[in-house]
Amino acid sequence: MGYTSVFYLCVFLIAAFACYTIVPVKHKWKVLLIFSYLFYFINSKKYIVFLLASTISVYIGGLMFNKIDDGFTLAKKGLAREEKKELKSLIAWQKKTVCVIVVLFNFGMLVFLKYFNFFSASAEAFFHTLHLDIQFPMHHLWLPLGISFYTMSAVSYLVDVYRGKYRACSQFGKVALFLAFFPHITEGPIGRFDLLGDQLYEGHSFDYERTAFGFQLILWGLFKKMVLADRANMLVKTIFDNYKEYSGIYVVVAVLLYTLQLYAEFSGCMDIVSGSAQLFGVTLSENFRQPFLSGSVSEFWRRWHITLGAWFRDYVFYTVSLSKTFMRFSKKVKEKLSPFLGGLFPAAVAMFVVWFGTGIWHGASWKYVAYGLYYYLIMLLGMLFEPVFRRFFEKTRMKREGKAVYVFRLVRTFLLVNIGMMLFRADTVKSFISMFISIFRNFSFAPLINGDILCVGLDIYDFLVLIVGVIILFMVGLYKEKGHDIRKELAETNLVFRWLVYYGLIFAVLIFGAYGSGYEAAGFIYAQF
Amino acid sequence: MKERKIKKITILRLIKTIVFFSGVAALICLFSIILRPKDNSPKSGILNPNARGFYGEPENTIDIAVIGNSDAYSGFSPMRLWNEYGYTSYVAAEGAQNIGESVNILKEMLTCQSPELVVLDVDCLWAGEGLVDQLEGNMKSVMYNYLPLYRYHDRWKQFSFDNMFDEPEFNWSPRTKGQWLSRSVTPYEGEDLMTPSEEKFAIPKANLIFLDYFFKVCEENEIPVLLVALPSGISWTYEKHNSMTDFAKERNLDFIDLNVVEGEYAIDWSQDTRDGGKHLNCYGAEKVTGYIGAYIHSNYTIEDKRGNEAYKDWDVCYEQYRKYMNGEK
Repeated sequence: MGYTSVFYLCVFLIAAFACYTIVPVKHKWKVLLIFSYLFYFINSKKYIVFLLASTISVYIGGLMFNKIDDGFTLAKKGLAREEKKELKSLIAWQKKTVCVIVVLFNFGMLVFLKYFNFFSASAEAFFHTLHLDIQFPMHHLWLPLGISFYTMSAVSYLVDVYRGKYRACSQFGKVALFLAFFPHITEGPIGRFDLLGDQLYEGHSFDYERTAFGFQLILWGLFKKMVLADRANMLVKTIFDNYKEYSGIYVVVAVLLYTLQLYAEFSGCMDIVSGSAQLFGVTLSENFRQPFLSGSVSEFWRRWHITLGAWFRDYVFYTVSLSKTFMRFSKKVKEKLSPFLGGLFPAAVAMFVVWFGTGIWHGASWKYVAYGLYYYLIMLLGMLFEPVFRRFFEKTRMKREGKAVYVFRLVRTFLLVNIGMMLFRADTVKSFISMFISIFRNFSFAPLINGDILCVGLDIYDFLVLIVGVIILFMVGLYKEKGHDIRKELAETNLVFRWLVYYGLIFAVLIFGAYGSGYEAAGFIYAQF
Repeated sequence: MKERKIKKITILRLIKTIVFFSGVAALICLFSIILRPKDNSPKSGILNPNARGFYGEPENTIDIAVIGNSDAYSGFSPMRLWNEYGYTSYVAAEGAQNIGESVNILKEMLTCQSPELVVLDVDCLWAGEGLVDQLEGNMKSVMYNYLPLYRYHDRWKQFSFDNMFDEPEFNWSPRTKGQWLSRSVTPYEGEDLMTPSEEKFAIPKANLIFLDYFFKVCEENEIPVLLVALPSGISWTYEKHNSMTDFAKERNLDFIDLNVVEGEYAIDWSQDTRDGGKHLNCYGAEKVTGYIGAYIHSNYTIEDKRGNEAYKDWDVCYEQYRKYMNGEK
C-alpha cells in the first residue's frame, strides 16, 4: 500500500482520520497505534515480528537505563567521594554494556536482513578472483518494510536515553507508536522521540485549519509525485535500462530528469506523509529545504534528506570525532605536525565512517558505497583546499559571499549532485562509468532541436508539463527560501483566488498526473531502502 | 456569546466545505465530458479500442461476449466460431484485466448488445498480489466506471475546442472482432504447471465480491455464464484448476479448463504459443475455439446466422481471416 495508492488515500487514511476524530482524546493514541500496526501488517505480514523485536529491545533497554540511574541516585547517598567515583564508573560500564548489546541487536537485524546476502556474494566474488570456489550461505528473507528507517529511530531513542537527553518512556505503547507511526515508517523522516513522543501520545481534537493544511500538503505531494516524478520516470527508465544504446545529450537529459524525479518523488512523499501526520496533529521533522539552492555539496546534504544527515551527525560523526582516542590522536598531530592537520584528521576519519555508512544505508550494493564515498571525496578535497581557496579570495579581493561566486557555486553544486544522481540510478559502478563516458561521445544538441528526444518515452506535451511543473516547483522553493509560509499566506488571501489555486492543484493532479492506462505505476524509490 | 460565534464559524465552514467539494464534483463532470473519447477508433484515445470494438457492431448482433485478459484476446477466435457454427462473438478482453474491469466492460457491452451467452476467462480472478492490491485494482475499476476523467484524463493531449462537447460516435469495429492475431511461434520450454495435485489456490476474496457482481449483472439480463480457463503455460496452475472446479460445482456453473483438454484440441506448447507460453498464437486460438464452440453447440441454443443477409459482413471478415491463416496476407 503505497502512499499514493487509492486504497491508502481514500480508505486507510480516511478511516484512520475518522476513527481518530471520534475517539475521546485520551484514547486517540491507541487509534494511531492500531492503524500503524495494521498498516505494517498489511504491507509486511509476518515481518512485523522484526519491528516488534526492535521495539521491545529498545523499550527494555531504556527501562534498564532508568533502573541503573535510579539505583545510582539511591546508592550514592552517604558514599565517600572515592566510592562515588568508583560506583559511577561501574554504572557507566553497565549502561554502556546495555547500550552496546541493544544497538548491536538492532543493527544486527538490519545487517543480517539487508546486507548478509550482499556480503556473502561479495566474499564469493572475492574468492573467485583468487580462483577459490567457496560457497557462502544466503538467506531468502525479504527486507522488512522501513527497517532502515525504524532501526535508526530505535537506536536514536536508546542512545538519547543512554546519553541522558531524556528519561526512557515507561509506556510500551508510546514507544511502539513512535517507531511504527504509519506516515513515517516507510520512508521517514527519521523520527526523534523527544520531538515526536508527546505529540503522538497526547491526542489532538479536530481542528479545521490543521486538517485543511494537512490535505493541502498531501495534494502538493501528489502533484510532485504523480505529475512530475512519475512522468520523468518514463524517459529515465527507457535510457537507464538501455544505457548502451544512448549517448551524449540523451544521457544528460536522462540524468537531469532523474534528479528531478528523485527530488519530486522523495520530497513529494515527505509532503504526503507530513500532511497525513498533520491530520492527527503531528508535525514531522522537515526532510527537505530547497536543496538545489545549496552553494556546496555539504550544504546540499544539510538540505536534502535532512533527518538522515542529522542522524549520522549526532550518532556517528560526534561519537567518532569526539571519542577520547581521536581527541588524543588529534592533539598529538597538532603538536607534532600542524594545527591544520590536527583539526582535519579526526574530521576526515569521522566523515569517512559517516559517508561510508550513508552510502551503504541506501542499499546493499557497492554502487551505494561508491555513492557515499563520492561525496566524501568532494568534501575532503574541499577541506584540504580550503586554505588555497581562502588565499585565492584574499589575493583576488573577490567577495566570497558575492552574487557571482554564489551563482558559480550553485551551478558547480548542481553539476556535482547530478553526477552523484547518475551513480545512484545506474545499475552498477561499471555502468555509471560507461554512461558518464558516453556523455562525451557524439555529443550534440541536435536531438533537442530535431525532436528525436521525443522518441524515448516522453512526447512534447509531457515535456511541456515537466517544464511548467519545474518552474512552479522552483518558484515555490524560492518563495519558501525567503521565509514565507505559503499555506498560511494562501489561507489569508481572498476566497476566489484561494479556491482557484486549490482547484488548479486538484485538477493538475487529476488531469496531468501520470497514472492509469499507458503509465507504469512507479513505486517510491526510497521505500525500498 | 462565544459559543454562538463558534457555532456560526462552524456552520460557515461546513457550508464552505460543501460548496468547495460541490465545485470539485461539478468540475470533474465537466472535464469528464470534455475529455471523453469522441469516437472508439484506436486514434481516439479510448481505453483498449480493440476490446471496445463491439460499439461499432450493429446493435444487438453479438451472440456471445468473451470477456477476460490477454489470454482471452490471444486465445479465442470469433471467426472460427462463425465459420463452424454461425455464432457471432466478440472478444471484449483487455491486457491484465481484473474482474472489476470485466464487470465494467460487460456493462458497456450491454448498452449496445444483448448477448445470449457470456464466456468469462477465469484467469483474471487471480489478478493482484495480496488483498490490498486486489482491492486497489478493483477500486480503480469502480473509479474508471463512475469517473470517466480518471480513465481518460490523458486525453488532454488530444484536446480540441472544436469538438470538446460533441456527442461521442462509436462506430469503429476491428475485422478480427477483438482477437489479437499472431502467427508467431515461440515455444514454451518451462515447467509443466498442470501436474495433477490435491492442492488448492482459492479465488481471492476481494475478487470474489466482484465476481458475484458480475454474475448479478448477467442474471439481471438473463444471460448464462460459461466459465473457461484458457490455456496458459505460465499463469494457470493445477491448484487454480482444483479451486475453480469446486467453485463451479458449488455454484452449479459450467466450467471448462482448456489446460487439461486432451486429444485434437490439446495445446502443443512447442507450436501454439506466440511468446513462450504466456499467450496463444492464432493456431492455439483455433484449437481453443474449436473445443469451446463444440461445447456451446451441445449445451446452449444459439441460432446459426450463416446465410443471413444481415450478417453478410461476417463472411467478408472470415474471408480476410482465412487468408491470414493461410499466410496469404
